[in-house]
Amino acid sequence: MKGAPLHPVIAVSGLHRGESPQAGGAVIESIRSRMPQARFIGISYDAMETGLYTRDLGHVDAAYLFPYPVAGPGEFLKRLRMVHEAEGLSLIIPTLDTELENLLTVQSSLGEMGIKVAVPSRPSLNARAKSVLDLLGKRAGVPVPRTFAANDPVTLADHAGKIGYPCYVKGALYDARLVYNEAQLHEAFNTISAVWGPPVLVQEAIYGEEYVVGGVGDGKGGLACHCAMRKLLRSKLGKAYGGVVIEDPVVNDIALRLVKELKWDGPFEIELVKPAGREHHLFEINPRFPAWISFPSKVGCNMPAYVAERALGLAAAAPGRVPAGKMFFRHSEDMVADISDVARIITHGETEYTVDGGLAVPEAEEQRARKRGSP
Amino acid sequence: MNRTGVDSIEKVQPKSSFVFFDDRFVFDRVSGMFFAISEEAALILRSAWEGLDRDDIRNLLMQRFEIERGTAIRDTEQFLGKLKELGLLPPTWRDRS
Repeated sequence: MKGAPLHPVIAVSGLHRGESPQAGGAVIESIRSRMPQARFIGISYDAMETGLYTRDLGHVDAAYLFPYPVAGPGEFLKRLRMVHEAEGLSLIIPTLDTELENLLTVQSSLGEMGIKVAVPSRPSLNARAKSVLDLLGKRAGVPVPRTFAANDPVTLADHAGKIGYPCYVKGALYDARLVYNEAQLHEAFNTISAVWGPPVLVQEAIYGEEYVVGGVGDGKGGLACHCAMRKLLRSKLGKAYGGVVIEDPVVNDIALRLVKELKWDGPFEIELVKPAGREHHLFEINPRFPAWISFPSKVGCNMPAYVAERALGLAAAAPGRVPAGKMFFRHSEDMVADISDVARIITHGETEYTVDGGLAVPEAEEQRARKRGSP
Repeated sequence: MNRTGVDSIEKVQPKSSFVFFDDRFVFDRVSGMFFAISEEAALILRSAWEGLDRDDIRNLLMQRFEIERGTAIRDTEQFLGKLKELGLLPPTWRDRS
């Protein structure tokens, strides 16, 4: 296709694959399996992100430390310009909720730099926020656990009184804690607001089987591709460590209705809970790929590659479906690194990965220019 | 039954969402639930989804497992009751007492 890069340079964030794994490594692994000629740049916020040290298929070719998203769009763009100067980025696929506000703010500047970004529209993003999820549920005809937001613990406790204990106390972007009484609610409020800031939400606790749908919206109300699973193994933080693919017309229809209502463009994860004998309830919608997205990629449904190809203007056929019964199990492994690797990233703020698997000091500017094809 | 012991559900029970593995393990493709069950229970579950009625199922149990009629009736009723409780019976069975 005209204008599409032959050797795309794709920046991906969310490189940590620890107890609360992020999706970056799974996204890289998936795209690399389809586009081995692509170069992957890690957008990293912490030198302890495990993805900086892996040499598996999900490894980065180079990585750059960024200021935390809370620093704002200006700082993000400043650092990104430096990275773009060195790498010539073609596409950014963010996998962290906290980055989206900054990316949406600088999206037009990125466009001028020739960088594509896989982000939803701002109205879509806002319409699936936890604080307004019940409104979306009403419009799409999907039940949502009762949820209230508050900026102080006393008001939050009043809301919890209406819902009843136990209930969940949640951050607007991250973190959810089950509390059984008002004392625990105050403690949870203080912890969550100290890290993520207000508002803090209180949500009715609904118990049942948990289902997740990872997919890609086409931006026009259609569902380009998806994979629905029942969670089999969960970490203490509720993260899926095992799942089995299902073919449930009800779950598929819920996903379709939500995507249609939001006119969602790009990757998402829908989380559902089905209490015994009752309907599926919408727990939340994550505006990014889930950490398990490399699993469907390995069985014929490579959604990250589809998103990358579509964004880069390459011919992109929608991926096929994963048959019911396919399963994934997350298996933790220990990797070997060296303190010099960490030192290099911290002192230089960037690192290059050599073919033999080691890390290297940042390349000289002329080497980079040569790599980009400049004279 | 194929080499891996998995029946093709499309061939056997076009309306069922269950996949049977050696008649000892059942996976529900819709809900993602799976169960280890006895061969007797598998026969009852399969038969209910194939549209057989209670008498047919009892007779099948008696023939297949060489058991008394009383035992067949008890086993069939107990297991159908359990399946109904779990919502695993076909729609045509759900309103039956």
